[in-house]
Amino acid sequence: MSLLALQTAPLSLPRQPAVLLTAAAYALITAAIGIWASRRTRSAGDFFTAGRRLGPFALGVAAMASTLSGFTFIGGPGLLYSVGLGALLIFLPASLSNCLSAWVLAKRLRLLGEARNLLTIPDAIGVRYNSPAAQGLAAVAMLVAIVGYLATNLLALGLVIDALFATGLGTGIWIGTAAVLAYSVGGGILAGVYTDVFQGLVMAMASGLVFLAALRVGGGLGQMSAAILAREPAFLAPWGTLAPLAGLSFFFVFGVGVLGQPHVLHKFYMLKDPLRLRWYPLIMTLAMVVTLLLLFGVGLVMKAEVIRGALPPLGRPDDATPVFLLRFVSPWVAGLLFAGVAAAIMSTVNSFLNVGAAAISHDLPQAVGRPVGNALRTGRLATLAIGILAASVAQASGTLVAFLGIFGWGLFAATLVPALAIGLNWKGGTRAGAIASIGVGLGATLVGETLGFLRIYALPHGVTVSGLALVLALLTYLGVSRLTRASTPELDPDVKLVLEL
Amino acid sequence: MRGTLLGTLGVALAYVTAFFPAPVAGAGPWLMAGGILLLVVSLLLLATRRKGGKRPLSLRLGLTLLGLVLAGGFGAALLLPPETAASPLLLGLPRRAALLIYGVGLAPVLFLPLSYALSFDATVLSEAELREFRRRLAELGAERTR
Repeated sequence: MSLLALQTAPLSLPRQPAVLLTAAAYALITAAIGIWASRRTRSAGDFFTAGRRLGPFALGVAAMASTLSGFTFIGGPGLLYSVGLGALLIFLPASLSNCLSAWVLAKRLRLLGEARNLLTIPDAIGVRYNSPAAQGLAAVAMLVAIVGYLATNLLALGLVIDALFATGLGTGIWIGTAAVLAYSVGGGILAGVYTDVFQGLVMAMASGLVFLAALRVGGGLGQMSAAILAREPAFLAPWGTLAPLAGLSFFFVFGVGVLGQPHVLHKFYMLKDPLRLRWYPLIMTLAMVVTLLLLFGVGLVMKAEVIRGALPPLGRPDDATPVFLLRFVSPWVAGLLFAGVAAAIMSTVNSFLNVGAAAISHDLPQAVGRPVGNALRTGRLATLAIGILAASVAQASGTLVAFLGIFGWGLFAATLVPALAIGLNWKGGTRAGAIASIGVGLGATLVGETLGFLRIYALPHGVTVSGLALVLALLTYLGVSRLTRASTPELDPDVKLVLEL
Repeated sequence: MRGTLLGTLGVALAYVTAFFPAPVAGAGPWLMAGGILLLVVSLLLLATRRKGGKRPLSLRLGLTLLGLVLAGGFGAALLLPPETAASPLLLGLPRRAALLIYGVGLAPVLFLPLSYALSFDATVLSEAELREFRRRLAELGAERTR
């Protein structure tokens, strides 16, 4: 999964007035939405589940914005430029994964949330298995992944701010952190989702425009393919230069792993009317496909232009998007795109801050039997604390950030998919199965990634730690549940009602 | 649940083959592709299982098409010969890549969300079911407070 590390090296962005003006306008609008939403945040329910008053459009676009980070705009095109079409295997599951999560989890999470007034994803695990231990373990696993994810995203945000406004990286990190915290602490997820909707629309619009520009510059898809095929046919192989097993492993981790991403699943609690889930997958999928067009177009056109000799080879793959924007699009579109990069990062950061704060202020105290009194105030303090911690990690050590950032998605998947996705659809899943699978997912990911990072042991080509950990956790859940079925108590009647619906 | 277990085992075996040299390793991508297909479709079947109800046509059609595009896209990418400089293009891409990207990455967008929306009442939640759910929930709440 190291291919998926976010931006960690300086970016070369254009500092033209139009770019800066667009970026500043974006920041002002985001701040205005954040302030407006903060004033409407009056309870823990508002702070953690947006008062359960979202419609399907807001839900779909906000979920898309939280799912896609800055990687989609910078790292993704760079990855495609360097390994070919195989990079798309990370994103191809988007065509089905939103429907998968809607069918498998959306209704049950939404109704369970209504039945028990749930605030978090570990809450759902705790209620499903009647187990504070399972809830606490899920929260711990989430926190490990969240700090890393947050640190890499804040580092990337610092790099974007530094590149645009020449602030220096350290100051850029803290300015970015302060900006997200300003609306996340005050407005929680309520401010987050409304800024997400704006940010998601910016991302989709910028991506669509840049994709059209890429087609125009490259002379159409056929012309680009012909140029690349003549010199590097392997680039256009379905797996690019990756091994087929590695490409398919990406598809597995990102296709099935979507069922364990708490920052996205958590949004199902926020829907006002569960019957309006009907249009959620369509909205989310269309928004996502449009936004993903950018990495396909830019990665391909930059390779074609380099092969044609119109551009020198890129110094670093991550320069693909900045160089394309500098050379081929108007500064206004470039400005919109850089606002899109900041939007993608900020929307992801806000979601992680919120689920991380909920884990600290809600799940862990519940797991040890000492729920906190003023959940809104504690949630705000926890948001502040986790934001400062992540920014400090981002600033302190590039190596640590790179390490922490590489396994977030996989860790969520390995620890949450079995207990949640299967557990909410299969009454045979047991408490012991859930606890064992979360433990195995957490242990396998941490041990595997540490061994790989320290170069002590490398898995064979094509095998990813996250894929292996997910499959081990699934087998553990199924096996342990089968073995402990007889000794498992009956489900609570309301939980049973949700599972049977 | 059998499908979910078999799909998971398929993926697990795919990873195991990577620890062996050819020809065992050659089976890995096929096992992985088959495992993913089985796992995804079985999870959807598990999630749409309803008491005594037959799945509606829009869902059956959606799942069949999904199975076909996954099998076709992965199968074509694994089976067809590698592209050369003279390979023909299909909708702007070499044939294998086109079948994978347009088949697996794009085609489901055209039918799966619609299948979800059209079969929503029967496979996810109808107004009557929601009403009944809330009524039962209120009953349980009242029993608890008694």
